[in-house]
Formats: sequence, structure tokens, C-alpha cells
Amino acid sequence: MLKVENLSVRYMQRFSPPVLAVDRVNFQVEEGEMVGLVGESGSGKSTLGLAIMKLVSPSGKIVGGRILLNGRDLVPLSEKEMRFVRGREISMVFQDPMTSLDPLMRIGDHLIETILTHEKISKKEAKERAIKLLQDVGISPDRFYDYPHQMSGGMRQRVMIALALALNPKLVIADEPTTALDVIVQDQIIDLFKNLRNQFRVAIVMISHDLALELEATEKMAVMYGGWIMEFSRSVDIAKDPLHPYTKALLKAIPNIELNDQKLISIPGHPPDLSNPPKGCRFHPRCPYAEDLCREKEPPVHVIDGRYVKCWLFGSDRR
Amino acid sequence: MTSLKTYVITRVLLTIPMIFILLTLVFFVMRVLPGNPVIAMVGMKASQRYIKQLEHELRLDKPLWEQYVDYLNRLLHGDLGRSMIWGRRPVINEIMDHFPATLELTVWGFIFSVLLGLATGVVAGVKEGGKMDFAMRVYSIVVYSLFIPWFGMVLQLIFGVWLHALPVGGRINPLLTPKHITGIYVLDSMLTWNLPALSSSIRHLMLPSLTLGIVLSGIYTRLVRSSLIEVLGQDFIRACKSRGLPERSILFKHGLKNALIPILTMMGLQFALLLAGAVLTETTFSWPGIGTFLMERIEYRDFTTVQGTVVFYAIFVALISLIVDLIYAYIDPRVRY
Repeated sequence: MLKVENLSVRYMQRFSPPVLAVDRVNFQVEEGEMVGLVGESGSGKSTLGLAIMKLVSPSGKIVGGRILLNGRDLVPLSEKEMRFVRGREISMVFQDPMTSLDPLMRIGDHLIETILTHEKISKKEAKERAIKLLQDVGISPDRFYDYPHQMSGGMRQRVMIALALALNPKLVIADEPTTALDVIVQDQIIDLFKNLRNQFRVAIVMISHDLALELEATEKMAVMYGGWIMEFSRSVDIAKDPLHPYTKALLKAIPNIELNDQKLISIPGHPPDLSNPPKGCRFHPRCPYAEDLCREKEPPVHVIDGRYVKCWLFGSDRR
Repeated sequence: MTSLKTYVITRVLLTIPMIFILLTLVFFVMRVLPGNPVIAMVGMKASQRYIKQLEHELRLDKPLWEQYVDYLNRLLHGDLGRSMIWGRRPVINEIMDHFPATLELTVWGFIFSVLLGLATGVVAGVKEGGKMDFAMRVYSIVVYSLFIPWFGMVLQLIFGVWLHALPVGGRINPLLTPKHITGIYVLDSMLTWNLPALSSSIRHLMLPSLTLGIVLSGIYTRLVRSSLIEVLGQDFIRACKSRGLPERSILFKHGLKNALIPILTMMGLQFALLLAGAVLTETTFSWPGIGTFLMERIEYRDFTTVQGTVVFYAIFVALISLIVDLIYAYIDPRVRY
């Protein structure tokens, strides 16, 4: 349904060289699928999410590749044409529910406004639908006239989800939807996403830095590092048998609750500076398996049993 | 709503020390200035006895602190006293004679400044760093640094002297003065459906209120611009875009409305500046308002009238900023007193 091909996004900065935040990235999402997008801060995962909606401007620009939504490429579309894609075909849930709602607008009006912008129905019908949506995400209809500041973070995120679902899109991009929430609310929100996915048959791209959460919630996932997708495959495969050294390192870093006195394992080193990325493989400075080849040449993407991995350790074209 | 009541009462109480300080300052500054109302009125050539007699009548021969206490005492009873020069009319009557003219000028000046400031600020803020942004920033700096009398005279020269399009002074053609209801001519002539008076008063209003409005709009340009840029960079604007809302409604319904909240506060504070600007504008356009009146009475060292006017100004400004705060609470649901 969604197919991202060789997509690159560049940020222009005023006082430093441009940054290629997303670099020739490929992945796809099938109908009704929950796909994870994991990576450290600055790995380009949020940029990729925004780029699919073409919301990276003004500082960012899509400099190459295609975003195919049911066969139609979104990249050449004008802002005006994109307006009818946003909300209606793809919608988005943002990281911080505290700042993602207009503080001067009532919750219900947010929903009504969104519905009426795209559909020619009466205000009364829109209101009925808005109430129904609030119920779907677990908010009592008597909060319809509340202002955002009268709600908790978790409730606001539910409202954001209701807004994202208001026009029955086929794809929802959730950009770290639980990062700003406490753990218990996080679980509730993830459960809500799972339920809604089944109820509405909507595909979800779940962006997160929480690998454990993603492994549990998603069917497939893409692991991003330094603007590249390092590995893309089914989540169970990643949990059982990670291919890429970076994925392995990430999995090891998940703390295990059953071990006492366990030291937190981290990946030594720092994420790459994307305005001046390392030569060869971007992960090589932190990679325990790095060889000379990794320091010299960018690794190709290998397909192994339907799994994609961008690393020199695989494939036969290795010297 | 009781908290609203408490808020209003607190605010009103807070203005009392402010007025007291202002008044004390004005009281002594006026008396430090050389001369007094008697000399200003009758001149140095009048006989010493006559001057002494007049000074006694006005109680100017009493010690300063006694005059001060006496004045405060009367003020506490709501009495602004009488003017010290010819006629010795009650100060409050004098003020009320001139206040409608000032109110009319300031309200129009205010409207012009806000409209101009909003328009230029939005044009600048929509595209930060663009050509229009630069132009509008230059505009704001230039008009902000204009000297009102000079700028007023330039407009007088262009529209009055060269184009003969607009009158350069006064409030209205004296023959057309409408029946006194509120003292605000535009309102009065509308109430009495007096079209010639309406057109004359509007034509007379144009130049002074534009002068005042343009000069004061520079601040709003800056404020609207920076506030709008900040709001447009916020998450909820991007969220609006992600829902495919039209750009126009994002800009005005979500962006500008939020951007106006901090500006509203400034509008209240600006009102004081507006009144100060009105003094200069009135003198430039011989507008018979409190400004002209105040200048005249300062020259005559009419102590009580000057003091009374200052108190009146202070109360007026405090009232306006209170009203602005209440509007603020009405617009922003997060603010509750």
C-alpha cells in the first residue's frame, strides 16, 4: 500500500553544512499492518515519518526518491494536492500531546473542523461523528466541550488519535506517540492503537526509540541508524535472530527485569554527525565487527529470506 | 465568579498607590517650576497686594505640606477641586468638556494602529526572512521613530495644503456641530442622523488619527510578527497541517488567534502611550482635547487642573488595562481569575 523508494531528505541549516537526515531509504507497509520504525535520536526516523506526509519544509526538503501510496507518487504533488492526502489518506499522531492541540479550541471543535474541512456533511452529522470518535478512543462524550488544558496527557493523546482517525485514513503515522507519557498510559495508548488497527483496518507506522515496545506491538520493523535503514524485517525475526550488528547491540541494551544487579549495557560511541558522516558504513566506528571494507565502502542492501539488511557481513559480493 | 470579583477588587486597589505616587510627583514638580497661577494670570505688573490677595484666596500662601494634605484630603472625598485661573470652574467639568474629543481621537488612533500593525505584522510573519518581512521590519522601525508633530505636519502639507483634500485642524466645521449627547461627534451625529456633521467630523479625524495610528503601529508590527512566527512554529500548527486544513484557516483561525493573546496585553499597556501621543497629536492639529488643554494649563501653572487631569489619566489607563485583562480571560480559556 505504502511504498517508500530511495527517499532522501535534506535539511538546510543557516550556519552549518546541510544534513542528509534520511538517505535513500526503502521500505513498505501493507494494508492494516503495524510497522515499527526504531532508532536513536537523530537517526532520521521522525524525519522519515514527516517526509511521508511531506511536512518537512521549510527547513527540510525531499531531494530524491518516491513515496508511492497505492501506486501514486506523493513527491511531485503540490501543497494544495497534498492537503487532500493529509488527514484523508495518511494522518499523523505526534510525540507531544500537550502541545499538539490548539489551546484556544475545544476538543470537539478540533474534530468537527477536521471532518468538515474534508467532507460535505452537516455540522450536526459531523458532531455525531466526532462524539462517536471520542468514544472509540475511550473518551466520554461529556468531555466534548473541554479545552485541551483541562485534559491529561494520555487523554490528549487519545484525542490526537481520534483526530488522526477522523477521516478514515488508510495509514496513520505515529511519531513517538508514547514518549511524552508515563509508562502505564503508554501501555494503554499502545493497546488502543492495536484495537483501532483491528477495528478500522488502518495501517500504522509506529515511530519509537523503544525497541522493546516495538518488538511487542509491531509485525514488521525498520531499524534506522544515521539516516539509513539498517534492517527491515518481521519483528519476530528481529527479536529471535537479529542480523545487523546494530540491531544486535540494541537488543542487548534492553534491560532484563529478571536479572538482579544487571548493569545497563550501552553501545559505546556516539551517533554519527550527519553533516559529516563517516566514510563507508555509518555504523563502523561503533561496530564490533567492523573491517577495512566497512571503513571504505558503503554496504549494499542484502535480501535474506525476505529480510533486508544493509551490512557487509552478508551476501556473496563480499571480497 | 467570586475569584473574578476578588481579582477586579485587587486590581482596583492596586491602582490607588499608583495614583498616589503619580499625584505626589506632579504636585511637587508643578510647584518646583518657577511661577504660580496668580502671576501667570495677572502678570508681574499687578500690585503686590492684589497678588497676595489672590494667592491667599487660592491658599497658595500656606506651607507646601499643608497644601498637599489639604489636596489629598479633598481628593479622598472625590473632589478634584476647582481650577486656579479664570472662572475657577470645577476641574472635573473642565476635564469632561475636553475628554470626549480625546477619547474620539485615541479610539480612532487605536483602531488604525492595531489594524495597520496587524496587517503589516501578519505579512511579515507569514514568511520569515522574506522580502516582505524585511520591508515590514523597516516600516516598523521607521514609523516608530517618527516624531508625531513632524509627521503630522508632513501629512498636513500633503493632504491639506497641496491636495486640499482634508482639513488640517479642529474637530469639525463649527457650524455643523451636532447636538451634544456623548460629546463624541461621530457618535452624536450618527445618533441624530446628521450626515453633514458625520462627514465633517470624520474628515477632521482622518489626519490626526492616522498620524497617531501610523506612529504607534510600528510596535504592533514587531509584536504581531514575532508572536506569529513563534506560534506558527508550534506543534499544533504542524498538527493542523497534518489534518489537511486549508492554509488560510491555519494562519488566521489557529495561528493569528493564538498570536494575538500576548499582543492583547500590550494593547492595554499601549493605551498609556496612546494618550501621551494624543497630547502631541492634539497640539499639532489644534484638536480641542485634554492634551491641548493640559499643555495650556501647565503654562498657566493651574496646579489643581493639572493634578486633576493626571489623576483622571491614571484612572483611565488603569481602567483600560483592567478591561483588557478581562477580555484576555474571556479569549484564553487557560486564564481564569
